[in-house]
Amino acid sequence: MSSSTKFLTLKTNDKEEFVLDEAIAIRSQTIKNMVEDDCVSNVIPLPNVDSKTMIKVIEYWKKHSEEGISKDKLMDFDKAFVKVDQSILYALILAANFLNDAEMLDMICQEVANRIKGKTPEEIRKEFNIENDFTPEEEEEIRNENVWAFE
Amino acid sequence: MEKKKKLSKNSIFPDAKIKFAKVPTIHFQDEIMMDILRRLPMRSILRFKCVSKFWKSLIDDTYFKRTHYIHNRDNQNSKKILIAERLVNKDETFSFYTSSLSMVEDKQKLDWPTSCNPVDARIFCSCDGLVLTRVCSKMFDEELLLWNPSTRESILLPHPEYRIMTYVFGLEYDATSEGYKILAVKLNGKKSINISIEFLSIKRNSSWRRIDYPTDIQRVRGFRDCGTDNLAFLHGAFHWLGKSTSGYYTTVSLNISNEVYGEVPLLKQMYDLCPLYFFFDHGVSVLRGMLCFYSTYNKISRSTNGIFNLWVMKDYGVRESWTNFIKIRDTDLFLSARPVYMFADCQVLLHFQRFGYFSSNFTTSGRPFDLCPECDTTKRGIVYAESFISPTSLLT
Repeated sequence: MSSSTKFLTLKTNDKEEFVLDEAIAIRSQTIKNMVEDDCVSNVIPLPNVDSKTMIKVIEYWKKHSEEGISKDKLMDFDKAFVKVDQSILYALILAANFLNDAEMLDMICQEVANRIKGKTPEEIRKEFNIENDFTPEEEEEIRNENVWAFE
Repeated sequence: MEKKKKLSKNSIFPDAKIKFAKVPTIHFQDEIMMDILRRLPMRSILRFKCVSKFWKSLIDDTYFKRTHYIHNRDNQNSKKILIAERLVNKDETFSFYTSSLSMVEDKQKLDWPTSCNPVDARIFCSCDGLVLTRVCSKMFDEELLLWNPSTRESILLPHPEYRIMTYVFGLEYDATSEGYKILAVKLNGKKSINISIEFLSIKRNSSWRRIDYPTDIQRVRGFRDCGTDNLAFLHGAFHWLGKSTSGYYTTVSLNISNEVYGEVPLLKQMYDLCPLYFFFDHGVSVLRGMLCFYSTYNKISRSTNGIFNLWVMKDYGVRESWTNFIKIRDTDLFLSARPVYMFADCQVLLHFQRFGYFSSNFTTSGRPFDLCPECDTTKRGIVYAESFISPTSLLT
């Protein structure tokens, strides 16, 4: 009947398997390259993506592959999609980067930028678990270069 | 087994060490980190330089600065508008502010680029996030500045031969001489005085250099000035509207590199009005890479119904490709309207002034020419993209 529909099996790093329409899965440039290089005889391993994140990714791919869906509906979907916990957002960035989905990566990077733009350097360090390796004098010097940016 | 080998050879999973990193110990690759950082406003980026040595090195990276500018230039949502605003009645208060083009609430007041206490200022043009501006501290004490409003750094430029306000300026990067050039054309001068035209290369110890002007092209008059706020730059040349001695209108072009003049023809119907109408304002400009001609005119008998026309030249240099893009009839349009920017949805941001009022404001095509509620405010501005380019560094 629909002999043209091919399915792929994606295996996340926690050994979960996801069966997905190839037409949807090739939203990932990484998977698309593998399909084109003919190296997907059975299961595609995704060593950098866990199942929790993959469920979100597939939700996004399916919505964005729906036929005839309006731009407004997609925008509403995207808005709700990024309203998740910080840790999920960061996992999605790593997944989108690994799967090479530029559209999804763009959307999530923008969301992260929106969330951090008003923060202080101290809050950023906390957020990303970064150690301040400047001496107080060095930090003072950088602050003095652009005092207005700290107001 | 063989297939597995092929996989790793194709390096589908490069940098496995980094990519396996798990939240909450976040370690994005430099490329992702830069992708997030370049979406931030300049204020946040400069503040985040003191997060850590690694963040500072990312932000100071030349590649980051370049991609940051390209992102801002190509992304409508990150475009900014720089506005010089004067409250006419309230003790002549003057201020500069920027806001993002998409959100007005983002309004940020800027410090003056000079330490003096200015009474007036005019923003002329911008290129790569640099802005050419005139600041006036007392009535006749004027300065010409090259300013980066994003980093707030500025340099003083030498004066051209005549008073600054008599010129129309253009600022662009010239790949041949590998530097920025400013062109000043004295289009606002008296009709009896010949048009003076001068180039300034922005580098150390440089001065204005006068070049010849074609004798058969005269200046046109618009509303309060020549009708043009800045020179239109496209196809490697500056453009402005001129009138030939035999009476036809034309676009004069001057190549930035070899300084050779050219002409881009207009259609007669664009400027030839039936005797019942008269022009208030007209000029050429550039919108989304297309040369355009704009005009505002009125019927002599009914001075309250103005017509605004915007023509775009779809194929540069091809006379037949001039297309009437927008035509607006408006009872409030007894004034001048000039295009500033074209949005992705083809709406055009217009700057307008009204006869009998000193105020001016912005509107978009399709919305009314309404000065209220700010009817005592003069606003002028340009659209630009934030960049790291340091005006001081251009002088070394």
